[in-house]
Amino acid sequence: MDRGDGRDIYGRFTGRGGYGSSGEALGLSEYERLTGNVVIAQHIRVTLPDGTSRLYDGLSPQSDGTFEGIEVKSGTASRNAQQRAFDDPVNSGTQARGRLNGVDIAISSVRVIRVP
Amino acid sequence: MSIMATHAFSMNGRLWAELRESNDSGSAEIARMLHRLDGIERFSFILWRLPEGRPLDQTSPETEATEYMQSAGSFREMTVEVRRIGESGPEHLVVGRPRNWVDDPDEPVTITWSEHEVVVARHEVFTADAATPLFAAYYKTGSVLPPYSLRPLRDNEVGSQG
Repeated sequence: MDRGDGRDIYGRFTGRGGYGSSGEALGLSEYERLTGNVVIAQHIRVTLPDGTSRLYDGLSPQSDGTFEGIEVKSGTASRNAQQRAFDDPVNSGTQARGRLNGVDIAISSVRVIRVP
Repeated sequence: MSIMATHAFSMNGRLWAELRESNDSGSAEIARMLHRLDGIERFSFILWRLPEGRPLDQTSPETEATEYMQSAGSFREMTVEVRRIGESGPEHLVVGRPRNWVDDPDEPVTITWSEHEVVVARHEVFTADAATPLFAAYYKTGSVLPPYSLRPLRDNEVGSQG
């Protein structure tokens, strides 16, 4: 929380702004606006070679033609065990596969973002 | 190769994201974020080392990110600070470049960000290009190494809580 001088109680720069409400859509749009990383806000089912599947809140195209899965968590929410069990191999080099608007795509990494 | 995130970053002190790097330097994404700072819509960047073995969603940066490196301002002129907790408690420090009396006259510079401002010495003003290796070294070592200088933030610039 801003103390009124643009910093919070730990001295971190906060400034004005913030979220009128939390949530996945706002988190994705803010992530895109602040970082410049393009985000496709579609829930696409992607599957690992072992057959397990998962939905991400958004997808971000990477320079190598693959995509990064974006998981938005707000407040105190965190990923459940199934989501982490899916994400860990993806972040360790096992690509997940899916179809985006009729085109086969590969997910090569996962990024978690947090919003208030 | 595992690419599990070891650090998280915040833009504007509100949105937090895992820092995603494909190599050990950590500098590519850091550089890109620092260059995006315009002092108005995107005015601050915080780099925080995640607790060992805990991904971002299993942390609470609002209460846990108490040791960090941060910048505020724009890609043309920004201030860089470090907060660390030592045996005597928290320290909040302003980072400076090696002082060059010819290029860095001893005159204060006002850095504006969002609706706020902070006054620093000329040698404490960084461009995004100049700040990138500083953040990259912090990413790698968790420290500010010579030849950079550190001075305590003045009391009227920030409060202190552990």
